Amino acid sequence: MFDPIITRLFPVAMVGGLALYVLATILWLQPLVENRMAEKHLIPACEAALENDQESTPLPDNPERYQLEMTIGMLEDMGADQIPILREQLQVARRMLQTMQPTRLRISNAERGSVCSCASDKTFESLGFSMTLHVSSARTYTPSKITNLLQTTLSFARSGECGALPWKG
Amino acid sequence: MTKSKNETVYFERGAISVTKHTLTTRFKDEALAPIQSVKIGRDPLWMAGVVALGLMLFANRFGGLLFLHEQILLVTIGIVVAIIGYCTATLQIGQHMRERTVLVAPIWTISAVRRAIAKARDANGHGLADTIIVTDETA
Repeated sequence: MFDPIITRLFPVAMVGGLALYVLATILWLQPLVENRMAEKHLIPACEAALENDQESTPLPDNPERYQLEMTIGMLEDMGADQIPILREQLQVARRMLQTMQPTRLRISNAERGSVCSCASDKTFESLGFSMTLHVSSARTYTPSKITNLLQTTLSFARSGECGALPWKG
Repeated sequence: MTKSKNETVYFERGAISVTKHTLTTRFKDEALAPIQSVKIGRDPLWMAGVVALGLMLFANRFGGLLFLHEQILLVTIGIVVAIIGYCTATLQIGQHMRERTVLVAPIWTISAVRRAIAKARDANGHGLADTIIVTDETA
């Protein structure tokens, strides 16, 4: 009873056309959309977020440096600069303090780009067939996984799966 | 209409020909006698229509991610596919309880073959009067 209705509503040729279009989507349109989304939105936003993470991470504590700083301050207060033997010691201590200067933990722009590019690749891999449906339906089907692409990319980038971030320890 | 040594040829183009008793395509000869109906099928138009519509919708909805030349290319491909689909048709012949596609060709060729088959059947005395219409009363 339903067979003729189904074949009338969806002729075999129409289903064939749909299959052709989905094939074109998988082979051509979907990779194009993924590349552009990554280039235009995901990678720049991810790089900015990682840079922000890097800048907002506090400088690492170094108790030895703090102790040395205190000692130098104390010696200066005592007027150690006036006593020749202590002056020499003080100069050595100052040089040592300079070498112990805390440096911010950084990654280069190229490394950041590579981490974000890998994270966006992993994001699209994790979407599976949802992305094919999203592209082939011309954005009619947009599940929450697609609207949260940036969050997923950032979580992949921060998870260390795409390369360790020094400020993460 | 031309006359060969033995029989009349109603249509001949490339590997396709219609004689008094036979429809010849590239891969098969088909006897005209058992044919009950001849239909021009628009399956290629359906297929091309879906693909063309999909490509144009894609170019429109994802326009923000595409360069202008890519959008133009997609729309052009869609139009070309639609034109090819419009110009292509299938020849479906109905025999007892079944319908088969025997030829895929440009629509003008299919129309000419259909007319040639009608002429051949008329010449054979198998006009519409002989056509049996089978209906399924249980459906």
